[in-house]
Amino acid sequence: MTDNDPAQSGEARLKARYKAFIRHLALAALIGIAAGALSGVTLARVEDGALPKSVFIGLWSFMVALFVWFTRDYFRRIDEVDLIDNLWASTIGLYGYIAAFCSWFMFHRIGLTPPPGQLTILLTTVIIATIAYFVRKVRQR
Amino acid sequence: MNNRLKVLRAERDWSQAELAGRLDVSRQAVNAIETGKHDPSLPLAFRIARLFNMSIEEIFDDQ
Repeated sequence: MTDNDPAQSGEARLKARYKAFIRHLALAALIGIAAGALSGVTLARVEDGALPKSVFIGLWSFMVALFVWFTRDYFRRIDEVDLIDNLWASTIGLYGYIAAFCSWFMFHRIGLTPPPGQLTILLTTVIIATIAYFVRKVRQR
Repeated sequence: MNNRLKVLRAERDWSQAELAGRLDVSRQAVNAIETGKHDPSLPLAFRIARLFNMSIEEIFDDQ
């Protein structure tokens, strides 16, 4: 939930709430892109030996803290319907991850596939969770 | 769960967006409650009841 000014009409309050939410998402996206680029550059420099590992550990700690803060703030801003949609999407994504990894692992054991690709499975999980979220959103419109 | 939210909203000539803003939820949340796709939490049910100056039982019916 957000700060709700009772002096405004409901529609004005809803519009202000929506704008604040979009600003929050845009800021999170910008910081996420910047943090991703910075960590990529830093990681390459650490691998080269140009920077000590402690620099990357410090950056990693900062990014985790930012991620936790934005996630907490996101869940504070959304309403209970959106929270349930997020929880359902996360659950479906997790089930997708478990099914994909276990299946791939077993197929690899009998020599049908190469070893499980964690990045592929992670991306698939995110895609499944995103689709599940938007399917629930469309059904509620 | 059945509810009288749509009727109460119409009596006041409020749009879903107007009601959503007054309850500090999204318009989709109001729609989900009105159409019975979502049963509100107890805190939200109390907010709805206070907004319409009614009891929860007068708005929501679990029969």
